Amino acid sequence: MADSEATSALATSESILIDGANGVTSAPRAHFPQAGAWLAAAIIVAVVVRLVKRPVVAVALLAIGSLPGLVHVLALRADSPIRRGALTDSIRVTLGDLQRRVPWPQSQVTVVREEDDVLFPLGRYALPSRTGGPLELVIGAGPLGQVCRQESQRVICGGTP
Amino acid sequence: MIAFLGLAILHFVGSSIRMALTRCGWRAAITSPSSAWFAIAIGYACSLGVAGIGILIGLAFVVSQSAPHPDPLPPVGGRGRLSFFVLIALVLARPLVPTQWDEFVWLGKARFESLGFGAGVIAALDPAQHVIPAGYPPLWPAAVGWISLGHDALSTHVLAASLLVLLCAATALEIFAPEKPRLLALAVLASTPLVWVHLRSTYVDLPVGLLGLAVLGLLMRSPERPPLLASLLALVLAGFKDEGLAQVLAATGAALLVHRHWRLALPALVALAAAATWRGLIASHGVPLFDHALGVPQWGWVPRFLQLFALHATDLFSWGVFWAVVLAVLLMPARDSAARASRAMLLLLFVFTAAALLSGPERVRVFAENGTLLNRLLLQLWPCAALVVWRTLSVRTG
Repeated sequence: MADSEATSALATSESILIDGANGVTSAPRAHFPQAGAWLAAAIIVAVVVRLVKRPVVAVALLAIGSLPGLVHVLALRADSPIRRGALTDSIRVTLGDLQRRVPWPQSQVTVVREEDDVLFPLGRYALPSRTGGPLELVIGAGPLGQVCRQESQRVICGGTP
Repeated sequence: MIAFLGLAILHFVGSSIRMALTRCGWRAAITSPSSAWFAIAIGYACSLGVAGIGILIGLAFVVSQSAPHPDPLPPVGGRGRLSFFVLIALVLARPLVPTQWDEFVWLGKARFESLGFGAGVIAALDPAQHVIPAGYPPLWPAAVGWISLGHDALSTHVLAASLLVLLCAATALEIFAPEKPRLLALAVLASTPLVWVHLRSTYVDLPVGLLGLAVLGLLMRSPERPPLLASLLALVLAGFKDEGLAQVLAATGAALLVHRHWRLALPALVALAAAATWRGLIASHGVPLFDHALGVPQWGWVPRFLQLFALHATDLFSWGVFWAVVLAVLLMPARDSAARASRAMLLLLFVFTAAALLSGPERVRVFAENGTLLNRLLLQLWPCAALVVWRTLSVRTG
């Protein structure tokens, strides 16, 4: 596998959580480092399909073109069928702990700080509404797979970004 | 397992309503995946409280215009049933925990329904509860909560949302299943890796595109009196997402281009009424609308938009060469009215997408720049684009 492919794979739980829906790889976030080659390939494909006009050619090109992405979907991404165990375990651990410490809607919680990082969406699931209360919650940066800690009336999840 | 029961109940209730309103047979209603939308659409109007009465009155008018014709429900053959089973396996083959950013946010909102029917709407209209994203149409998470039957458990919500994705895909499949060649359709469907990702996700982008396509299919099938289902799907689309309204308008515009019957506009009117009702509710409750407020178009951003669009569409890993083939196919002549309509819808969707990005708040352009938005907007266009490719190539295969 080329280095550029390896670095663009969404191979960690955190990368799937942040960018898993935005692209098959991290290319959109990385501003498409291979854009020139892909654009050239797209133009060639468009010209060939337009000139040859045989459906079998278009289907063959579609199939061949999908292979690199399907390798990521089926094997390289952290949510691929053969690798997703670690991803689901890490989310279950952190989210389960968060829900135990601040059960919704019973607990009265004030979210005092919330980093725009991997734990942010878990916090939104655990506490979909925020009406305030004596218990304080700090949602820091990742990683996934860790539990929160409690200091007096303050629950702290994650570290500093 | 509760989610399966929830969907079964919605489907049963929807089938009963469908029988009553369209006079179709019991067997036809119960074997049609789209019957569940009858319950979901009416449930949405009811969940809006007094404001939903206007939508129900509008629907009553639509029923009066659709009455003489029962909903067209072509029987699904053996291969069609096999396609459904493949689809079910694909969609449900996922872990029963959310794994992507917005899945947590959507499913978090679905938890409100465990507090009671319509609790999600009440929370969304209360700025003090800080529900995010503020001002978004509430039906997608609400419907997930209904399928969960109010059981507030992570795995139940994930399965319920996956079943909702499945329902959207099955509805589109039901409407286009009788058309051939199916092998070519399968090749087109399988050729886009990002779609594989989103079929096993609970994001609403792909479902919105699939239902938009279903609306077009229904309008083209019965242009003089569009079936009631088209208007109900339009209502659901407006309730799912603001882009759902764009899908309905694009489908309607495309259908009107090839068949000039005023009743084709009925679904669009229903969707506009639903969207206006929701916007009116959030405005009257003082809910801020950050992401989908429209302003003065930023014309100077057009070249950058086109550049970003090209960069995303040619991303080999996400799209393969799908959009290159779409471009090539669009340069070939359209041989029939259905092909012209699907092309017109795709073009309109592109224009609406561009308009939303140019006229939206600065943050949507920032999202587009940092790679977190455009591929998802392309996913909304993908079902229609896939139809364009399929139709054009299938004509050439004879």
